[in-house]
Amino acid sequence: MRAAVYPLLLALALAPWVSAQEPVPAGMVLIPAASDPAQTAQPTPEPVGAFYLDIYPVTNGEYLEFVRANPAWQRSNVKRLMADARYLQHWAGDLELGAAAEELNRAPVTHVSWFAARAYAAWKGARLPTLAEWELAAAASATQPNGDKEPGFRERILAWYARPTPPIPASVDLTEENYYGVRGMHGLVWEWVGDFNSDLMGIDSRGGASGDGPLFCGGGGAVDGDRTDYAAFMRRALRGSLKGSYCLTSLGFRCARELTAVPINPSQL
Amino acid sequence: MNTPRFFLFAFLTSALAMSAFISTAAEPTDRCCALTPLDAIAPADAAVTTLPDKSLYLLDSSWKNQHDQTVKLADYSGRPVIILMGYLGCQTACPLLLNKAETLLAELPEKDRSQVKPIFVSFDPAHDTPTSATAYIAERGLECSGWDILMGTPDSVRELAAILGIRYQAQADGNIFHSNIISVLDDSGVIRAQLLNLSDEPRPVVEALKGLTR
Repeated sequence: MRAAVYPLLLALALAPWVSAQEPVPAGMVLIPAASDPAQTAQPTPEPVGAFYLDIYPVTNGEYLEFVRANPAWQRSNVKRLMADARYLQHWAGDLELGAAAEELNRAPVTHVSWFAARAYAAWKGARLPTLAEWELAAAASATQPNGDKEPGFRERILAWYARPTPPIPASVDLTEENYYGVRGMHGLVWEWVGDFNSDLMGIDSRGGASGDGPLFCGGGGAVDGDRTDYAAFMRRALRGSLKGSYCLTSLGFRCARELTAVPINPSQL
Repeated sequence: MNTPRFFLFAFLTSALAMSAFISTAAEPTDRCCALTPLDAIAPADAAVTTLPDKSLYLLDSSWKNQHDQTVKLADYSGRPVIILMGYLGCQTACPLLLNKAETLLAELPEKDRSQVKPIFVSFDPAHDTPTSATAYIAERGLECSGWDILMGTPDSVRELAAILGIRYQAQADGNIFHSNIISVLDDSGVIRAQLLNLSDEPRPVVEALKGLTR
């Protein structure tokens, strides 16, 4: 009986070392599990486990590689079920970025639907982050996991929301990294999440109303979360107005990935 | 022109027709079972070769039905479908949603009703199983209208919901908040009408269904 315990103890002792061997996927960073679910500014206070997240949003240049390898996702082939008529409308053709190619190359890809974003992520062996994961990573300022504690953090985000959308978003290289090493969570484009349609903004809590109900007015009454975080509220309002086939001027995405082995915090042993 | 005789003939024919109607209406259980079983109807154009660009049947996801068979959504092509999403443990909105769908079907003439395939897709594949789905169908008397209950993966459920414009969110207590949308698909899987709210006027949806039946 007791003998059976020793391998287990050994395994536990080795666990931090073993997990440290797991290489972080290229272009991604590890976002540790959320200690305080409330910091994720998301509707369901569910704990968020550790995951990998792209440092940068996916660029036009990267997306071009995807459509080259997957002709079904080229502009003239895509099914309207999966992407509306605005899909990649800012490109010159199926495989041409056009005159602004140089600028577009490192700018986040936009005019992509949720289905397209999912297909890209699957092609990369990744997935879209969940709403909770995205909000967790987005809650960090440059110096802290919870940016709310940093003066001016929320105000800077809101100031971006107030600026008009430029015809071409800035290069992802110009963004600053946050506490986790993630860049461009705010200030570039809005981003799809895997469960964007889990946001019940506009649906009352009895589930009696339609998904296309009031989006910016009373609809928020049924949702939880920090109501002083107006930036998070605005993101929720946007998600509440989206359909999976929408392709918008300022809506892009980035990928996330599961951990294959969950690192164990040595302090918990 | 022998007018009185014509009227007599007309009266007798209509009386005959009415008595036939009354006798079927008097036996509700028989009426239900007298419907042609849906699966026995051979859809004339089941093999839709090229699906329209907006067809739901472009989705490649696999589902389990209440008979524990693996099905694709495209297997339903060739006939009109009404489709809604819910979960078997739902005590509040889903029974109302099902009732609403049954009401829509009941508004159709019998010949039309038997052509429409009703589908209930589960939000909760972790809890809903073919066994519990079969029990649910029996408990609620859903066999008559030919309901299929489909269970998928969390991913395929999320995807289908996105296409149908349905939002849902699991709660910590096991309940799922969700929008109540009933969609009508034509025989090639394109959404032709939607009831976006339980309190919506059902007529447009009923009319859409009538227009899709043969």
